[in-house]
Amino acid sequence: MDIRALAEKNRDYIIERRRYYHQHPELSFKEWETTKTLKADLEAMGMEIQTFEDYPGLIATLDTGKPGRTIMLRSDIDALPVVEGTGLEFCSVNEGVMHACGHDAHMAMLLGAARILTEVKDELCGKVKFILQSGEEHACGAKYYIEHGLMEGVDGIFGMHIWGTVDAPYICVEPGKRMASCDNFTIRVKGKQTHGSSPHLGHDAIVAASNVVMGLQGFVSRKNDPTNPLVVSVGKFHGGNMYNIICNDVELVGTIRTYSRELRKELEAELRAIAEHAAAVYGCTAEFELSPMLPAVINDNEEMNQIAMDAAVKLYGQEGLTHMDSLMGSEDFSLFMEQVPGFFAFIGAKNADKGIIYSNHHEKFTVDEDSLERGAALAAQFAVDFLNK
Amino acid sequence: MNILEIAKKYEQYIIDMRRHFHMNPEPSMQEYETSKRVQEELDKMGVEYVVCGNGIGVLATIKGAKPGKTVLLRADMDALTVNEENDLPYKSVKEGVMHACGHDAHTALLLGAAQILKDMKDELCGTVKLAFQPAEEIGKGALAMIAEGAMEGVDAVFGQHIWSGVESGKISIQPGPRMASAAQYEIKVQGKGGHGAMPAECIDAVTCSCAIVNSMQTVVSREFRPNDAVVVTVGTVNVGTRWNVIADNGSLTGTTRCYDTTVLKELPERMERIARGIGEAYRCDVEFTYEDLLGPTVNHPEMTAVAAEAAKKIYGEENLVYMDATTGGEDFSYFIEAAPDNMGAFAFPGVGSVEWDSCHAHHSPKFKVDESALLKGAALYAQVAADFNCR
Repeated sequence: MDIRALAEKNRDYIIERRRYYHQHPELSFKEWETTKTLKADLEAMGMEIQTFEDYPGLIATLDTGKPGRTIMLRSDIDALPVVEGTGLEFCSVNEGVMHACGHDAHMAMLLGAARILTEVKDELCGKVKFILQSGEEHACGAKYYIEHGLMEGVDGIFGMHIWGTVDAPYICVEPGKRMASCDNFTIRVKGKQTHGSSPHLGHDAIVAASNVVMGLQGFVSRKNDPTNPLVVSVGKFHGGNMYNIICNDVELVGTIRTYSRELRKELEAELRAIAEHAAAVYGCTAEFELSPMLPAVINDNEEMNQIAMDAAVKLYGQEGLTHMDSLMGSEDFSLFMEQVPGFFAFIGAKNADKGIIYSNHHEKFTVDEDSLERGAALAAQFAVDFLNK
Repeated sequence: MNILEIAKKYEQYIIDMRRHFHMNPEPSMQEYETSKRVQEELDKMGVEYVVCGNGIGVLATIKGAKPGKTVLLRADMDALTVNEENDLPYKSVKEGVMHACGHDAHTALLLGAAQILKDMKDELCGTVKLAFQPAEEIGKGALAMIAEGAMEGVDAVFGQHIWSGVESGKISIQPGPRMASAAQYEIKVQGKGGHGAMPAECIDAVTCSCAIVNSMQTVVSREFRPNDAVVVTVGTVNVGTRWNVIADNGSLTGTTRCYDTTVLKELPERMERIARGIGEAYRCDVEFTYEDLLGPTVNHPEMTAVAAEAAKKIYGEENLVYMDATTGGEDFSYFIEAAPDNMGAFAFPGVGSVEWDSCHAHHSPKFKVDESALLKGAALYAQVAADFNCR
């Protein structure tokens, strides 16, 4: 099987599909038309499709008929509330919605891989499942499929993200920490209200909450291991009703990002202690509430790492690879990786010569389409090598 | 002449007037009916007056038969947006508006004083001006009356605030600072917003704002003499919009209080220096705006002595009590500042009584006064006027 050649053969199809989906973006949890079109695309390849009445997205199955393992290939399908500024001829027709994160490219690459694998089906054993998932941008879209048992019987999962700061058409299949975990927190600081002219009769929650924020800075700078990347951001600080009333209630809302599973576990207790003590200095109380969102994306399954590296090198050589610094953003692909062995790759979108230079989520974000057949090839090769081992 | 004796004739009048005003409260700069009623009462007394102060204030004049000085007596008329929780026959008929600070009593006391003074015109020296002013609670009424000439020819001023924190029948009349200044400020912080996971690409307005709040505490703890009371309050902080977005900008608002005129002048400079310095340290742009609302109310020792002697006649020496200066503010401070040599004084007649349940804080929805204390307040106005004018 020459997967590379097959990918090249399907280049026009992949690009055409990318442009179609780019033109018809839908917001998270509302990707009904996208789901319908994907269903038709995959049915045309003879696959069995499972859709859901109460949730967008689908699972397609390519059954080789021979016993073996099951590999799942994943793409997300949602777009963002961004007003498109690319000026492309296949610009979004849905006002105020845009595939500004490249999920249109992900879908196209997966369809390309599906075509390739359908063609070489007889040389494979086991099953390939394709999961086209809703709601990735809301950090929890993957949950539905996991909760409905759709990971049962799956032995491995592969996903990838096209990335605006990486040069096209290079592939990044590095092991280890790739994306950070994401947790939200709310800190409610409570004091005692009194007239603005008599501070001694109250407990000023604004001063206390400011002390909490400054205390959190000290954790990052002084208590955390410097080689362990950590972000603690307080995005919102709101308190007080009138300029001349000492306020008794402040709400702080923020986010925590780290790669370390251990640190992530310890953080809740550590930050809560800081909040409570910093507030207590001013006679106030602090309630720390953590909302865990997503674990980190860490490529730490040796078998999966090896398959990915070998597949990429087989296709495009060492010269087809690139390095990418780990990102502080998050991906709900990490939820799948908690269920089954997984691997997450990155592929470049950037091409300065073609004026393709914008980051994911920017209103002018687009991708160098030369990357698309490579991404399709990578996914297909991964599946082949995983199943035929 | 025994002023207290003359006053006793009007005890019920004063109580009735106060109840009328209590039942019909009007907020600051909207005291139209209150003003009209004051004018009607003055007409009935045959006392001359002009409308003075945004078309609402009333400046009455009573000329004594004998030569003498000119004193201005002042009472405020405005109510607050507070919902009255008292079950009284003369409870406010207006939902959400209440005389929760006693200005209804002040207006009644001054009308009572007008009655007394007009009765004793033949023995009175000089001229007495009676200023019924609007909008004390928003610090605008005194300025409005002064701008329209209320202080022309005036040698000294005297005012009173009935006080629930002082026992009914007692009075505080002390020299020096009695009430604090009040100012309002805003600090705007401008950073550079961005993704919550990428602090290096952003300039965080939340952290900068908190550092400003923290550092601002040292203005009070480290930059002024401990004997000079200073309050710097940050009342509101609003920075940022979302849990995963580093805040682009925000705003802090607050108030300051002090008693000393040097502190008053230096406070905004020092606060601004800290706000800007911290802003620079955190790479943010800072905008600082500061507005003085009113100055401290400082009793001139000479005028205080006159008023204290007058108070001894009305209340008895044993009923003059000590009261800590309060950090609340009064726009009567503008009258004192407009008087020659700042010749003015402000007294606090007590209305606090367990029996009358009248020890609630000013501005409380349950605020009440001991009506038996009102008579002496009216008499005191007249006594101070009589005594000062013939010095």
